Amino acid sequence: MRVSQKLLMESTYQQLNKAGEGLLNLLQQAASGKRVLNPSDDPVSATRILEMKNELSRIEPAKRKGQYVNSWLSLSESALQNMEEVLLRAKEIALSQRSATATRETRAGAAMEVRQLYDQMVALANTRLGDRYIFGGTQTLVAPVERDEDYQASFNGNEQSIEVGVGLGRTVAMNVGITGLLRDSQVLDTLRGLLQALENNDAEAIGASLDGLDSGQDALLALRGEVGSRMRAVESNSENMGDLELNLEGTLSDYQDADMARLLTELANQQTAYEAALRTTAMITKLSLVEFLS
Amino acid sequence: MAGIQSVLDIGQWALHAQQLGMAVTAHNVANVNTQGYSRQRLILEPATPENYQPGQIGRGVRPASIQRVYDNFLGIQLRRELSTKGSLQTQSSYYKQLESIFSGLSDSDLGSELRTFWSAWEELSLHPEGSTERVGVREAAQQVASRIRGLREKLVNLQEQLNRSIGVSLDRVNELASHIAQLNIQIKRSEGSGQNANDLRDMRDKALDEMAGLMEIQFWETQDGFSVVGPGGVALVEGPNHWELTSQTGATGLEEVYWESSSGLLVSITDKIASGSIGGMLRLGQEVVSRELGRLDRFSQELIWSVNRELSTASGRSPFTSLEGQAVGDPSQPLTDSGLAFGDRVGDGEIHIWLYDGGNPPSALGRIEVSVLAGSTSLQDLVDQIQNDPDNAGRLQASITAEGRLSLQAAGGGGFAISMDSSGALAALEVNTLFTGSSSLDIQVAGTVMQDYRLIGAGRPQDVTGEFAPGDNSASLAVLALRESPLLDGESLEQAWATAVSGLGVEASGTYRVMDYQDQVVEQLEQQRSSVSGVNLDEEMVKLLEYQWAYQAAARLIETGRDMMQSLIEMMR
Repeated sequence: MRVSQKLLMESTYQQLNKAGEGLLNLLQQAASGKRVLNPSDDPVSATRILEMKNELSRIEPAKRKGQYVNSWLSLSESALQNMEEVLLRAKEIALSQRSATATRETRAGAAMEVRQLYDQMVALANTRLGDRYIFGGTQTLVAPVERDEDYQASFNGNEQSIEVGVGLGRTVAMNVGITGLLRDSQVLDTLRGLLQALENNDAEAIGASLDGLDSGQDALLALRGEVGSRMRAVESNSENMGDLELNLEGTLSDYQDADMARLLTELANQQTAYEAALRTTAMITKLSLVEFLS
Repeated sequence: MAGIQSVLDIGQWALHAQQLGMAVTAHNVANVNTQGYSRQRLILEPATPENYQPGQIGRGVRPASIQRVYDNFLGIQLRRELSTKGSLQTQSSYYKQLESIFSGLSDSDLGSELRTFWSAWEELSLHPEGSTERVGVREAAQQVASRIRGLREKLVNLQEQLNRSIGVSLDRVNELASHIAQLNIQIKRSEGSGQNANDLRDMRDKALDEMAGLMEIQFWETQDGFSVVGPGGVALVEGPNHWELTSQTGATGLEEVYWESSSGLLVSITDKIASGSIGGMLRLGQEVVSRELGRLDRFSQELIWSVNRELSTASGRSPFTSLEGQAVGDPSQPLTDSGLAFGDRVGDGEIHIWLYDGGNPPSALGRIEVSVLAGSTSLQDLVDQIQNDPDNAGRLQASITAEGRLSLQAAGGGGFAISMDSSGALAALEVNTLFTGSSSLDIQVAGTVMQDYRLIGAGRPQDVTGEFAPGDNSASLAVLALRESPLLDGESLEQAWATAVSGLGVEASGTYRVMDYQDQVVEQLEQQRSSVSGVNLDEEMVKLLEYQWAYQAAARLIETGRDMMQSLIEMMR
């Protein structure tokens, strides 16, 4: 094949260009630490990367929400536990004051304590997390329970659950309504009955309140069990999410990040190739008969 | 007669011929770097011999012609490939721009903004009473909207850039056509007088190469020079005549290319141009950029409509005291065709509006029921139904403002909230919505929300009891459910965006790959042509030496002749 000057120059120019382009590409990868900079670099990986990013973006808020739900639930649990203790104390009072040894004076003293227990119960039902009442259903901004001077309770909350997505497609009701328990299971009414019986020095009525206190305790226990199982569910869910996050991050890195060791080796290679191209260019341009004729 | 005179004569011709050879070589050397130059060579012939005894005797050398070394077939092949390369090269460079516009793998693309938007809703679903969460949602919605508008602006700019480049390239085609026609005239004139118009032919070939890179052409040589025919069989050059191409931006924002006949008639050849850089730009503008614009529009529409649809029946911490909607063209026309962006999506259904007192928690006082029939219910009907509802009793004042907006105003210190709208009329009227606009051009956060973030609803009143609870998060859960909903051809918004980005990546990488291949094809052909027509300095140097030696020898011939003549003259003394 006849080699013209132009052919020679153009092909060296192209070689230099290609070597330079390869070098630039590798330098960009090394500088960013990423293997896929544009979707066109590797469309299949790009699709996976986008999927991973979408998945990962769900985990972070879900984890935060899981933590909040857990603090809500554990606050609920401790409040419920305290309510149980209130009822337990009320039961002790009822048991001791219904006996024949109790007198009008002891019963009046006990009535004072039951009043406090009643208020404690109301305060526990009005427990808040931040500015939100946790036992009022979706009525979170108004106290769920109020009492009047006659120890008659009125209720503002509802039994609606607040559903929260905690990740992995799992939804948990964050709250337990207590209106049903206090109003419909008549826990507060029972306490009020006990209070009146103590004030009236009515041993029979004091004994009658025990059944109500028992059933109230049972209901609280059941509710606590419910809260506990939800907490465990949320916890195991966030553990699963932690695993998934690690997993996804690993896969994302596999698709997206450059293998530095390999990249640097390639970079050294490409550099050599570029130098070689430069050297041959310098050599070729010197080779001409013109140089030798004088 | 073969006398001394003829030796001198032959010597003189030889000197002349070698000198000419040197001139041709010098011309080659001088043009070693000239683009499109074909090397030339001197063709020498022996002169017509003279009849003599014992036989014909030569009369020396005659320069016959100066020819350029050129392979016509290679030229034709190369130009076809140049058209393909032109198209691919242009497409590649625009695909690069498109990829950087989408920047789909960065952390600041539309996909990221969308993820932030959903995250903000997750926060609001956790704290439906919250203020910072609402501000967060508004901020994220603004970012999504402005990102969409920015993307659209960049795509439109790209389209305009394409249109301008098409115009400029067509001007170049016209210039080249006129240049070729002129060269046709000059070449015919030179060659008619027996000259070889080598350099003019090189110029014409170069012009054809460039033209082929711009659009696919067909050409052949007639006695008047080259005839060039463009896409769709329109004549561009014929002998000394040439025709022009023009372009206009059509109503759709796309460029149309026309061929102008001698009588001034415009013939559209847009669809005929398949190749060359003009073909590449047309393809990108018409297929790729407008497809992406359409995709962005549909994306925006589904985002606006589906979020608004959920939020039109949502409520915030407390019942509304007043709400205002989007203006309609004519309040007496059915909502479906009263100029609302999403009027066509209004269906048959019912709207329930609950009325409340001013208490905490608010107590429900009654429910207003409005029925909507697509294609017949107008804004005026809607207002009348609200006003005349027996449960209203003057608590909710519905009216139409001077601009044609629906205005709802609670009276007597109370409030209201919307618990249901199965018709979509309120979303279409943009009552209590997050977004406003109809496409990627004008999507933005509603002005009412910009003024008061508390209007963003997270909950929804109970439809049956009317109970209003600030801790209710059902509307935000419904918005979050949209994240997974197949809103666009069976894909969620996120998936649709990912599909757009990776689809573009697949197309771009395909184009780059074919472009690389085509580069090699053209390179090879150019090398072949260069191998045939290009100048090799070594070769020229050798030629120079040859001519130099031949010149010296011819001079010696003349010297010998002179000596012989001298001897004769001496003899005659």
